[in-house]
Amino acid sequence: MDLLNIENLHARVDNPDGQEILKGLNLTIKKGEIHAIMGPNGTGKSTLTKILAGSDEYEITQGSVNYNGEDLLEKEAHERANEGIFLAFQYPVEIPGIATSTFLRHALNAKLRHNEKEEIDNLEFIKLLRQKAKTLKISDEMLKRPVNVGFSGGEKKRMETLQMSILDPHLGLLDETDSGLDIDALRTVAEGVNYIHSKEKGFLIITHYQRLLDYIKPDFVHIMVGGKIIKTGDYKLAIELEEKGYQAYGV
Amino acid sequence: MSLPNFLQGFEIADKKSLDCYNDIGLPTKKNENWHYLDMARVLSKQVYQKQLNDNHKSDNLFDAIKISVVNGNIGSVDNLPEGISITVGDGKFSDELINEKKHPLLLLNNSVAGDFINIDISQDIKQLIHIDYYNNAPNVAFLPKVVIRIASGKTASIIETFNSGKDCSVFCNSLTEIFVEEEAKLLQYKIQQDMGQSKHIAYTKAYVQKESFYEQNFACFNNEVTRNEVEVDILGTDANAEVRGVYIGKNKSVIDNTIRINHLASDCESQQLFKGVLNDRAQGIFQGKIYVDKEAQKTDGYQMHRSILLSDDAQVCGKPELEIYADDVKCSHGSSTGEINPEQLFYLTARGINENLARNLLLQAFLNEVFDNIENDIVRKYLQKNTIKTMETIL
Ligand SMILES: Nc1ncnc2c1ncn2[C@@H]1O[C@H](COP(=O)(O)OP(=O)(O)OP(=O)(O)O)[C@@H](O)[C@H]1O
Ligand SMILES: [Mg+2]
Repeated sequence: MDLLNIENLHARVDNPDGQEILKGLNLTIKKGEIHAIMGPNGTGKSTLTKILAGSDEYEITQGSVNYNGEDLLEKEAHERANEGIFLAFQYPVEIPGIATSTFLRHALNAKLRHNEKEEIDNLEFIKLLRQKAKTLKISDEMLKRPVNVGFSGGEKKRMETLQMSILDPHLGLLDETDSGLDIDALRTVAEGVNYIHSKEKGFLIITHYQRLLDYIKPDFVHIMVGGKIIKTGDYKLAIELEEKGYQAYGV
Repeated sequence: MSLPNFLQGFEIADKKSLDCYNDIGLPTKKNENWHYLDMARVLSKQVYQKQLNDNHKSDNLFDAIKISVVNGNIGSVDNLPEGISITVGDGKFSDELINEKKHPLLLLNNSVAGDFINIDISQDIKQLIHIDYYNNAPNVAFLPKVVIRIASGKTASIIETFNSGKDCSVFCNSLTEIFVEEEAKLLQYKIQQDMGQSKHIAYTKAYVQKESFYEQNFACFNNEVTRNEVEVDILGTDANAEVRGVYIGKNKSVIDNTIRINHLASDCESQQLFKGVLNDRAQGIFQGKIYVDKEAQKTDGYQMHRSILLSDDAQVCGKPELEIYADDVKCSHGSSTGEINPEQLFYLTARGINENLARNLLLQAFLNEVFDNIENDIVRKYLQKNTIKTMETIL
């Protein structure tokens, strides 16, 4: 069954002279599948993931997005998250004044409430958080800090992965989560993805490097240029791109 | 000579102050210090009265040495621990404060008869000292007079809370004089939470001696008109004064913080830190001044005012000011007005937190920078809890 179905999606920056960024994008992700998108800088990869997560920076001018058979674009960002969409941001924002653990407890409880489950109590939550953090080599000290404040590039990416493993999404959107990670961290992040992956779930992984795909085997690799997907293949396409670059695609 | 029309039922206590007040009149926008808040207009619409006491009882929230003031009538204080004396009745402000300042609302307070609360602290006092102002009579006027003295080397904390019953219109003109002796430490908290139709005017003057510490933390939760004016004279070397505030306003609230710190001795530090959140047509005013006398070398003065506006009609105005006559000083000031950061908001909502809660969390985080300075756990938590509650009503 289709988990995500994007048809002819057009989107522009939502301001008076905002340019069109997505120009007729099609993509279907079935349950259990892992898709990778590769493409040159500025082609709209992050824009796509932000639109899926519910950002109001963009205006959809054409097309449709269905998630689990429902119109995704109708829903607000927090509803999408609570229904299982998770975006690991390319550039996670720093939020001074809100402790990481407080923030994550609110997020998890929002999801539990949404799914009519009982909220997690504080002690139990801290236990869960510590245990997950340990496997990702995130220290208690980092959890006490405000959200992403003062984290190094790689630490921010690990923190995104921690959040993903706590919120246990159905559709994970990973926007360059591998950028800035050292080899060990890359392996841990990949393990994190493989750990929560199941036949019910899907992933959309945006990356510039084939390296990550050595650890997370994608079912499909897409090339995105100029706001749409222009070629789809399997893992071998990633290897080819790594060798030859995007020249063959008019970039 | 008579009291102004908007005050009814009070006796005159000090003719000289009243004469002087009547010469000057209520401040209008022409008065430099009141440029953004036209008191004559604010007080032109209604008559306020002296009201009777009432048997209102309230919980001792802070497990404090508590003084209850109901509709302006001061209750008895008993079971005082050693090292503190609180007397209610006769009292006197310093001549310097009343005669030299020619401040209309100080003069008005001093013109009107009423009991003083005199607090003398001669030992360290661990318990909070709480003046609990509560009003439940309609159109009540009250003009508190508070004098606080803390002896050399001693430490104490005092909190004043201002609450009113629903739909209770209030005029409060409060005057406080504080003497902090050498090496003493006085922490002062003021919480204005009338939430209704209150005109709250407060003036605090503190004299800070050598190696002592004075701080005031002010919080205003969505009142109609609030003016919190604080002037600190730092008179001895190596002393430190900090004045901070948080304000939240909606509808047509006006919140004016006017702060002046006078560095009159060398090697002292001062801080002014104010943060506000305004919705609807609310207005925030911040007039902060650091004055550095030519004797006050090696002064370290800091001033910051930040606000977040939640509506296009909300506004902040005011002026930061430095007046420096010494040459070896470090003084800085800054101010900013902005909106909720949309990227931060998206990050929180993309994690499943609904937009209202996300805004509330971000605004709490914004204000927490001020609350983080509050040493007293009970007070800090109380303020944070009230912030969350107030924020829910304004968002
Ligand atoms: N809010 C915005 N305002 C203006 N321009 C925008 C906005 N968002 C995206 N863009 C522009 O749209 C284009 C696509 O941006 P996007 O971030 O989606 O690229 P990307 O494919 O993720 O690139 P990279 O590989 O560098 O991460 C860029 O030219 C970018 O400058
Ligand atoms: Mg990108």
